[in-house]
Amino acid sequence: MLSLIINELKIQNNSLKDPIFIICVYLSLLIVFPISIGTNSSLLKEFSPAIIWVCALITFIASIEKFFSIEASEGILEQLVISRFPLYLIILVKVFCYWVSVGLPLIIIFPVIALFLEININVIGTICLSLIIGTISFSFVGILGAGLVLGAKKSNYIVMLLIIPLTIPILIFGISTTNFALNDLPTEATIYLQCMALSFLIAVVPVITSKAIKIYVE
Amino acid sequence: MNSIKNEVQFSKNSLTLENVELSKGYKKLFSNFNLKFKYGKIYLVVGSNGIGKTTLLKCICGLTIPDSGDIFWNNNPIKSNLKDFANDVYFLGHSNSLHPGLSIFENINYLSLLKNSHTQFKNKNDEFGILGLNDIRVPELSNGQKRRVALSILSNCEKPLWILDEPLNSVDKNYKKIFMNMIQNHSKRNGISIISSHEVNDYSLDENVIIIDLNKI
Amino acid sequence: MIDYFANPSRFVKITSFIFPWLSLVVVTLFAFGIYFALFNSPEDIVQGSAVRIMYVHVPSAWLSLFSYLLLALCSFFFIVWRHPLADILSRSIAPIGAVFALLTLLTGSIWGRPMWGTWWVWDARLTSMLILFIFFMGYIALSNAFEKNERGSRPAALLAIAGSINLPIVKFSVDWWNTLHQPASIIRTGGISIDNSMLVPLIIMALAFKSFFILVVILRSHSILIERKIFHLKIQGKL
Repeated sequence: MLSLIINELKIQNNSLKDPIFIICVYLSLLIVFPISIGTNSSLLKEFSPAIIWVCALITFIASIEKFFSIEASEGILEQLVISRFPLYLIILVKVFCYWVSVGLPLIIIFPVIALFLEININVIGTICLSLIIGTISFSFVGILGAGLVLGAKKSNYIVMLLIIPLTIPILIFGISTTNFALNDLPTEATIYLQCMALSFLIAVVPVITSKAIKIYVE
Repeated sequence: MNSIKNEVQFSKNSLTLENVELSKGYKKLFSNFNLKFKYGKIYLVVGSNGIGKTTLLKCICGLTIPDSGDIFWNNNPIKSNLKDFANDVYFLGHSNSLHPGLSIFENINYLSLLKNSHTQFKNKNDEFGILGLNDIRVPELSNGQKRRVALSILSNCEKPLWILDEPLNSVDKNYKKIFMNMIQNHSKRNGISIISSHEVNDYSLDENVIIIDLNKI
Repeated sequence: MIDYFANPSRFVKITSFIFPWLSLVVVTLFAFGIYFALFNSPEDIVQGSAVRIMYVHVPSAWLSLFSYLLLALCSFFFIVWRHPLADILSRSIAPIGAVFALLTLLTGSIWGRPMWGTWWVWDARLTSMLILFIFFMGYIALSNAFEKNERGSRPAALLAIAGSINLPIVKFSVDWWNTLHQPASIIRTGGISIDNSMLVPLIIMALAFKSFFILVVILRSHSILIERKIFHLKIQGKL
């Protein structure tokens, strides 16, 4: 089990998903917003929850189409289907490793980013927690999307189109938590809502993605 | 846990196809196909291109679900216990199942982990001469070298049922002989090998080898 | 592969038989519905004649939700039982559902202009409908994204199932986020709260829309079936 995780981490981190690279992508997306909105400080403060979350979403989803492409073309998916581990477990490991390589750097660097957006120090903890739950949810939805478009030839922007309706609840709950935290309102309820969405995804995504992989392999 | 290779006999398994109907897209490839695979034999599936060799092999593995009919491994349908069946089978497809992001040894360990095989890869088991390739990254290997790595992994995982789809693609002549020895050894240990090929001449035909000619079905 | 010439041809026979009668029903219902909606129903005190758009807007909304549920159901049948007819029905329903969702959005927007002064407002209902529309478009895109058209049926069906499971959450989250739309006046725990004179035309229009929907689904599924038959015959070299 542990070796499965280690192997998966090796695979994912060898394919150029350097943590620094991810952080730079996030930062460059982040920069777009103040430039577009203007340096009006109050507007920026109002928008900061949205900016944080949307940039995170784009960082996760931008190149998710290629998630299974190597395994698909090299015939590894077939070995995963007839392996000793049930496929949904393998998918859970893949989601976790994807989060560790993309989400964890963001969470770690978040306190620095909070400085850019002039966020109060005492709410950073809550926002980090909310971001952790939200980014794990993004990983799940992303992998679901990648599984559904396995084998699609004309799949240029399709994954985004499929995934965005499914990410709306994650965004809504996450941004609400961040908003409440910034305005010193209690955030327990919204964190619970986020956890509810995440638990839903944990239940649904591995099953459907494993079915999609089995369909591809046929 | 190191099991000593090449000495342990497998149990006497059997694989049965019952009333299998299989189609690829719109073409119906097999209907009412009945076949029993016995332990200790080597089965060569031959036929022209497009006749359904790969589809049949994938169906036997459990990757493709037949339209109707059942496949039994030791009289248990593989549908209901895919996990036990997966523990006993090794499938080698057209592509080599080698991940370009891992080194050769990491690939060997990864596939062994997936297939629940605990044999350590030792020098004396290196029939296909891949230990010397360890320094080369997987994407830079030639097709023949990759195939040899895949065949080494096959021989390293101690599985009774081997399902191989054109295993000797791009393999040199001297390694072909080594491969023949390997599958003869496998059948001596009561293993079943199901191999698809379009070059029957590669295989030395003796009483163990049964040819399934799909052109005639 | 289930023989294409068995069940689907029975489906074609039955639906071809129903078709003319159904067309008659649709025309009648629309005639009555439009008469009642435009001429025989009262005006709203505040909104005046503009309320009559409700007779198009509300049935479209119901129908887009209904077609979504039907899509999810057919997709489930397709994944579990692999019946090709379920796939054909799903593919027929999807664009129709998309069009009705779009119609809901457009009529909602037109209705909203005199009411709220803006062409668009981000309230719970309209936003959910917009998400539903995008979802339909995603389904259509995925089902046609593969080289072999039928290869896309099963991933698209999985998408419909995943979406249908997630849709209550989306609806809940959007509701929770914002409410500006008037509360539902038909489906309420207290019972029906609009007057009969408005309810009757509404129900007639709803039935008219539903039968029209069935009509168009039949037409589309016939055309998909014929397309596939032609392709099938071409592959076999008989054409």
